[in-house]
Formats: sequence, C-alpha cells, structure tokens
Amino acid sequence: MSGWRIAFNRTIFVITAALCITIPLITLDYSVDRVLPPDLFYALCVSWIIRQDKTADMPLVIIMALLADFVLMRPVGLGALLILVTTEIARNNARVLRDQGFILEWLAVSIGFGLMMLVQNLLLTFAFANRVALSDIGQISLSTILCYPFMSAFLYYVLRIRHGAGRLRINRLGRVA
Amino acid sequence: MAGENSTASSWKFLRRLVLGLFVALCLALFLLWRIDNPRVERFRMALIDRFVPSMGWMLTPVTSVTRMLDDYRSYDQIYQQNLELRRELQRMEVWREAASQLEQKNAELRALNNLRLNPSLAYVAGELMADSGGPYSQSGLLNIGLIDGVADGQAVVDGNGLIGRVAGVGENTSRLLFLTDTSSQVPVHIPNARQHGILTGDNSENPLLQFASDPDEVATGMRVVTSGDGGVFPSDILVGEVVRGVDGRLRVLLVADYRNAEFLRVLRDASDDMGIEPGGVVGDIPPPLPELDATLPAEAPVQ
Repeated sequence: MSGWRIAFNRTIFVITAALCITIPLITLDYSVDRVLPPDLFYALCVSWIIRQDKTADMPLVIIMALLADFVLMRPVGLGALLILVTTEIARNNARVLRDQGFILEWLAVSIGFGLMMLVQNLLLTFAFANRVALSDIGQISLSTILCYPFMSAFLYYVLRIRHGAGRLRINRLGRVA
Repeated sequence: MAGENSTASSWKFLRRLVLGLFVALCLALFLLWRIDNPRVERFRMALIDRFVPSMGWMLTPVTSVTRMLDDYRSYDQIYQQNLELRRELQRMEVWREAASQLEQKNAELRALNNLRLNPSLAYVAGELMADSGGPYSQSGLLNIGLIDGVADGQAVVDGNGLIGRVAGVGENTSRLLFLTDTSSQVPVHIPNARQHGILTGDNSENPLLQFASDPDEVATGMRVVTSGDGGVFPSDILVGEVVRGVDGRLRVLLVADYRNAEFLRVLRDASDDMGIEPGGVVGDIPPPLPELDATLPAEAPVQ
C-alpha cells in the first residue's frame, strides 16, 4: 500500500470514528427507558483493525477513544483503556480472525465486547463509581453485536478497507507481484 | 538475517513500551477523574463545547429528519388525539374561568397587603440538542451556555414543570442533568402534607422521595414542588405527584415530558448572581466576615 493511500485511510478512520462518536448523541427521546444506541466506535475500531491494522494505529485509536470517553459521558480513561486492550488483542490475532471466516470473527468480537463491559463494571465497582445496570449492558451488547456485520460490510464495500489491498497482486503468470 | 531479527525484536519492544505508556496514561486519567472530578468535568465540558457544535452539520439534518419521521408516525393517531384535545379543551374552559376569577381575587388581596412580588426571576430559553449517548448519565446538551448567562446549578423547566438542573457550562453549550440521574438530588416540598423531602434520582422513570419527616402522612397523588431550600432552586416549581413504587417506596411521577423534550427554559435569578465558577460548589457560599478580621490583633501577643 502506498504512503498516500495509508495517510488517506488514516484520515478516513478519524472522520468515521468522529461520526461514530456523534451518531449516538442524536435522539428525540430523553426518558430513562429509551433505546440505548450501539457502541459504534467499538464496532468500527475492531472491524477496521481486523481488516487493515496498518491504517488504524494505536495512537489514533487511543486519541479517538479518549474523545469518545469525554463526549459520551463515559468514565474518563477507563473506556479508552478497555478499547485499547481489546483492539490490541484483535490486532495480534487479526490474521487468525480473518482466516477463520466471518461467523467466527463475529462471535469473537461479540464475546470481546461482553467481556469488556463486564470488566468495566468490575473496575467501576472497585473505584466506588456508579455501575451500568446489567439490563443496559445486555441492551448495548445486543445492539452492538447486531450492528457489527453492517459496520464490517460498510468498511469492506463502501470504504474498501481490505487486508493487503493492492499489495499481493497476482500477475498473468501466476506470480505474486 | 540477524540484523533483521534484531530490528524486528526492538520494534516489538518499542511497541510494547508505547502500549504500556498508553495503559498507564489511561489509568492515570481514570484515577484523576475519580479524585479530582470537577476539574476533569470542566475539561470535558470545554471539549464538548468545541466538538459537538462542530458536528452540527450532521446533527441538525439527521435530527430534523428523525423528528419529521416521528411526526409522520403520530399522524396515525391524529383523529384520536383530536377528540381527546377537544374534551380536554372543554374541561380547560371551566378551569380558565376559575383561574381568571382567582387571579382577580389575588390581585385584590395583593393590593390590600401592598405586596411586592420578586420581579427578578428571569429565564433564558434553549433547545435540547443532544443526548448523553449512553447509559452512563441521564443528561442532555443544551445549545445555550456562559455567553447566554447560564450557570451551574440553575433550574431547567419544560412547559409542564422541573426537568433538571444545569451541571456543566461551556461557552456556547451546557449540560442538563435530568432529575432521573443518580447524581440528582433536589429539595422538595409537599404542600398538602406540609412536609419537606429530597428527590433523589436512581436511573428509574420515577425518582425516589426521601427524608420526608413523616412518610405516613404523604399520600399518593399529592403535588410535589421545589422547596427552595439551600438557595439553589427557586421555590414552588412543579415537580410532579407522589406515587408508590412497586417496591413500596415513595416515588414521584414527574410532570416533565422527557419523551418529547425540545425547547426548555433555564431559570436564573437576574438580581442575585450566585457567582459560581463552572464546576464549582453549588449552594450558599458564606460571605467573608470583616468584623472578625477587625477584631483580630495586628500582631500576636508576645508571651
């Protein structure tokens, strides 16, 4: 992948992440039992890193995760920490997740999100801060899991975030260029 | 070959070092948030004040389209609503007559007592533009801020009654903490039972009514208004009516319409500036005591 293409994709990542942080702010219903939005930022980061980890670097992820913490009224630093750890695990296992097929990737990402929310609640308990209700965790987890395939399809087909695109080209003689 | 290996391993080591640094940074931020919350919340408000309006190009059209769809859906029930409104209007006609008679009587009594009402309670209207975006806080973002005279702790009402208070002010935006949030505690008064209490949010639709001196005296259906204790909120703003929860505890059915909240009013006392810095302590700040200074000796007595 050429240098300008990497820079372009990094810019796209930042813009898409900013959109994913803003979209949950839109609502007309401010009641307690409103439908909670999915964690689009998590779905974006993990799906992007599994497909093209080069263009979603660790510093970019941490900056946007901290922005999400501040804007979405999350416990500052904690959300970013968990996103960082989860994305690093995804980055280290990206090849395996890609090769196993989408269903297994989806399952792994779903388990990862559930664990992330539970660890967050545990750390909030240790810090004597307000915890998130288990029903809310269930609702957010479900919507995030359901939106993950759409996010992956959007990245793959619309933004064309694909692994090794333009790098492993096979020529007419069957050789890898 | 050996060179390549050593480059790869040093790159791996560097990467782990950076990861460790970021983890430490996040943990430090989390601890800072727990220890020095007001300062971090001030920074959060300043960041939101810059970020959210800059995303207005997307927020405004999407909100408008969503609102249009919502309005379109309500057309289904328009006939039913019309009938209901007509019935309500008939009832209101009777009440209007009663209200105008009472108003006249009130004016006469005021004139008799030479009563002067406090004209200094002003308000500034704003629009609720964004949600908190998750389950961490029951709050919204108002499109008015410091430059409009909004300050921390001010009461916010919709057309029906109290909806929450301002908790965080930026230049152009401010955060409205709803009565349903766990951080919300408002001193209230139940006029019919002549009792005071504290309305405490617990992330449920009907906040708890706590610390009533005699809870047995409080009956369901009684009106709950702000008491004005502590000098933060004006008194007698309608909050809701007493209900008993499924757990048997006293709760308040809020009159504020959280489902269709859009345009709200921030009440502010035009004459008495509370002088609270954003993120500062809300409530009465005791004035300095000049007499005490005057009585102190200039120098400590020599033993």
